[in-house]
Amino acid sequence: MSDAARPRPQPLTPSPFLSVHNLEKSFPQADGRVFVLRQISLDVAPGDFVTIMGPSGAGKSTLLSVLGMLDGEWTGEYRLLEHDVHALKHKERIALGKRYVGFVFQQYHLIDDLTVAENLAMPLSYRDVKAEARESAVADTLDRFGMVAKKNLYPRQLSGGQQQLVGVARAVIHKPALLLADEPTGNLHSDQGREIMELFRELNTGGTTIVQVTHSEENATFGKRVVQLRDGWIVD
Amino acid sequence: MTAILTLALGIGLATAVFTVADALLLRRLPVQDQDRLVVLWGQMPERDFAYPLGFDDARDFARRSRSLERVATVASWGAAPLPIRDADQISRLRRALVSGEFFDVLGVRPVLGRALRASDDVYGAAPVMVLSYAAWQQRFGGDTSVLGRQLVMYENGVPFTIVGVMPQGLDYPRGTDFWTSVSVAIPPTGLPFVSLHVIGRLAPRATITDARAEMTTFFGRAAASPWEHDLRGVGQTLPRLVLGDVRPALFVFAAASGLLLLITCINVASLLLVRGVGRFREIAVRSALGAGRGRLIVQLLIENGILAVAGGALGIVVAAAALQSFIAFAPPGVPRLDEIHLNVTALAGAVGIAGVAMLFFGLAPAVMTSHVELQRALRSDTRQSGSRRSRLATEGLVAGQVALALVVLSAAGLIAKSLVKLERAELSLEPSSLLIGELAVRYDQHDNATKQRALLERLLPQLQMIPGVRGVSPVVAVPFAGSAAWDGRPAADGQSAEQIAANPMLNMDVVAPDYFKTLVIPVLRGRGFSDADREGTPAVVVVSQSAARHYWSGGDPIGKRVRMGAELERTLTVIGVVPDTRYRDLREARPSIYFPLRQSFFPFAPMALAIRTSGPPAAQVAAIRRVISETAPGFALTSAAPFETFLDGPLAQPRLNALLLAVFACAAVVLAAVGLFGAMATMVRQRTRELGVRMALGANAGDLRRMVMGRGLTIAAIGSALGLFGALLANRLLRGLLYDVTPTDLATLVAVTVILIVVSALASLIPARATTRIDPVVALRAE
Repeated sequence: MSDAARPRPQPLTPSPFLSVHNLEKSFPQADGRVFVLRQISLDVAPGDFVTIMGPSGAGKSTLLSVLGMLDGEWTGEYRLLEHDVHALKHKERIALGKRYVGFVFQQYHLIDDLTVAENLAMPLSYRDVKAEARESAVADTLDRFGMVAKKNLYPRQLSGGQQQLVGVARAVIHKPALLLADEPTGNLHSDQGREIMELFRELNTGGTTIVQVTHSEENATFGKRVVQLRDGWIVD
Repeated sequence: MTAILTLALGIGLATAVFTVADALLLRRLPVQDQDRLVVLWGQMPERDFAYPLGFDDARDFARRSRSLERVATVASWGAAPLPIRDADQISRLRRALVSGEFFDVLGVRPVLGRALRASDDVYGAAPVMVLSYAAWQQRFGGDTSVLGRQLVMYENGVPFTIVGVMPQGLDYPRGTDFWTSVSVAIPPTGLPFVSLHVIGRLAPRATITDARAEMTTFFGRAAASPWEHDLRGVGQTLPRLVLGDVRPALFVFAAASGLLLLITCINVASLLLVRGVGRFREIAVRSALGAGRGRLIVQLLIENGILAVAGGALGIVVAAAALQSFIAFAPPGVPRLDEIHLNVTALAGAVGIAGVAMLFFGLAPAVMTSHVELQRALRSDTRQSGSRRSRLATEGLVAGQVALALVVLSAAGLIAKSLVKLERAELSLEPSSLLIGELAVRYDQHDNATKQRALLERLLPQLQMIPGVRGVSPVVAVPFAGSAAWDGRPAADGQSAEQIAANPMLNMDVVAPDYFKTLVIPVLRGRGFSDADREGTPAVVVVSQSAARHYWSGGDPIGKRVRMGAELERTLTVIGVVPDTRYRDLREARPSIYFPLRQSFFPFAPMALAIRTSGPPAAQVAAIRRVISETAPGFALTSAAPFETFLDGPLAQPRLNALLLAVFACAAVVLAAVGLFGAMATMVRQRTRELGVRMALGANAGDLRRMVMGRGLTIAAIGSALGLFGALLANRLLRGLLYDVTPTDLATLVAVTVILIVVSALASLIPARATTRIDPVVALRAE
């Protein structure tokens, strides 16, 4: 792969849901810079289910953080729907991410001191949803994910699979258009992982655009296409 | 480091207070077996007024007593200021009159020369005096050649030879500069007017109750006057008598010191608890490698013990600095400042305090952290968050600190408000540009009140003519003179014997016609005195409002009559009413009765002057002194000071109380703020992952700041609520120290609560702002 800038790829559809072009992220080092992402160009259509794969240290999670607006230290172009993310200020990016993005983490990252119901309600509280509407949304989500009986339990009282289920539910409760999942089944055994991936497929069928990072070939089969990342580059 | 500094601050201040209390209040008197020394006098049932013994009665009691194996006497008025001439300098020293065996009974040895002896207490013996240690240091610079030096009693020109110096710490009666014997200082004709307290050493197996009962029996003997039969014997041990009026303050300081130490211990406990939580993994590894629970506890205790030793050592440095600051900034009037220095007792106290602190704050965290579950601690997901239980424990400790800080702060607030009210108390006279001078008289040249009054009459017009002097009047005593002023209990016309017995003690003053104008005391009804009120004209008085209310409530006092004298044989007519003033007592405006100088029938003349000046009073002193020496030889001006300087006396203790409690309160608030800051900073550190998750879920910087601030303020609110409850209970102990302020003063409690909440908000602010620096990517990735 030459170091020359790649030409902007032709969009798969007239207006992709998400599009990055020549995205790069690096850190300064004593003898220069270390690149974590190099000239990443990628389009994601609405309703797409993209799997990003690659060895450890390839930059997969970093790319996910950039797409999810958690990381603002990068160069290049990033367009989400009609928004030029690369031109936005920090607060504007945060607001955009809040509006469109949901995150599922490998380590669940549930809040230990909150019940299942309270964990689900948290994203809504940060989006100024009124208490009554919050309660209604939490009740609907608990029902949808079959967790009504567990609503008053704490994370430590749940199995790994159940915790990840709560993590997924929390990520989608505010109906994001884009769901980002970083190794969502990495801490689960295979049956539980399969259950989660089925859920993702179901969400995708319902219209949610999903980008997942995984090492698992099996998980990749639930998506529609795979993007390979190696040493910060997208490889064919 | 934070723990060491916190411990040092708490131990240092607590040690400093212990040292001050020890020096001022607790240090043993340099006498033999002080708790066996008792002081006795008489008291009428249901009357808070002391009845001393006469000269002959005191000697009679001494002969009869079985409960006291050795008996001496001391003048009941304590150490009275007396004009002394040393070479050509006239000044005042406070003299205590005692019997010859006084020092023998106390069992005290002089540091220089000798004590008084029985042979010194005989009329005609060579006049000798024994100096107090403080007077020896302050007036004579500790000069060992002071023995044999003579000081002349200005009143009669009699020289007294200094024969000894008493040891440091012998301050009975309080404020004594020198002791001399009763029989030499008072001529035989004056002895019937001397009133004495008995001081004795209890006989073996006798108790103070026995001594009091014996005194009661003595008052009831057949030879006693009928009115004495109603008296009962009362008394105190010498240490209790000396410390009596400072016990409330001592208790408050001890409590504040204890609270401060408790806050310190809690603060350090929470710091170490947090540290312990952060070492869960290390402890788990040690456990996995074979360390038993007891071994782990010992290890932690040793580590905490080292902290305690370091904190205690640094605390001694803090204590020394605090003591130096106290001495430098102590309000005027604080006694025994020269006796304040770190000593073995204080050092032992500091070591003891550090030891207790080590046990207290070392044990709890050690026990909690040694309970770590091995498997759970070795798993990565529990490394940073810490258990909910330990977090709540830490926050509970911080809330406790806030509660205690509020208790101390509220006490300081009440005392400060009380001080302000006292300093602003309405005197009912104009204190500015008012000079108060004390006169000494040569009693050998002017041996009766008539001659003294005549001299005053000659002097007053001359003083009035000094440029810059706007008014002059004699007064009986300087401001706030306590027992050195005059009291009397006149009867109103038509009162029954029971009513007469129930009359209050009135402050009495003998004044010139210019008095009320000079002190700017308004005449509310009738008139003040004039030149027409002289010997040979109808005897008149002016009374104060509360006196008028007592004698003639609802009626016009003008024209009413009062009676005075041993047989109430003198009749005086009320011509005017003035407000009660605080000239005599800053805390309470006293009911008073005033007599015109030219009609005075008292055996003594007023020996102080009140002079209203048009400019700074001190500027007139030289001219006043010159006029006195020219016009009234036989009088000397021994001291002259603006009225305001006399306020330092009654304000000394309240100012000291306010200063010490303010220091405590500041330290307590700082420690509580440090504790809260530490807890919030730890919360942010331990919950970084959670905070990163919240950011990933949509929380912005403001949401996180509010979360941290909210938690901090919740802890502060809970602590404040507990503290308010504690303050309402504890501040009742302050009642004796407060002036015109109730222990539950709402404004003060609200103010200190607000202050504490604001400080808590500031303490939480820095950790709250630190959340804005959290990178969610780093936080989510970190283990």
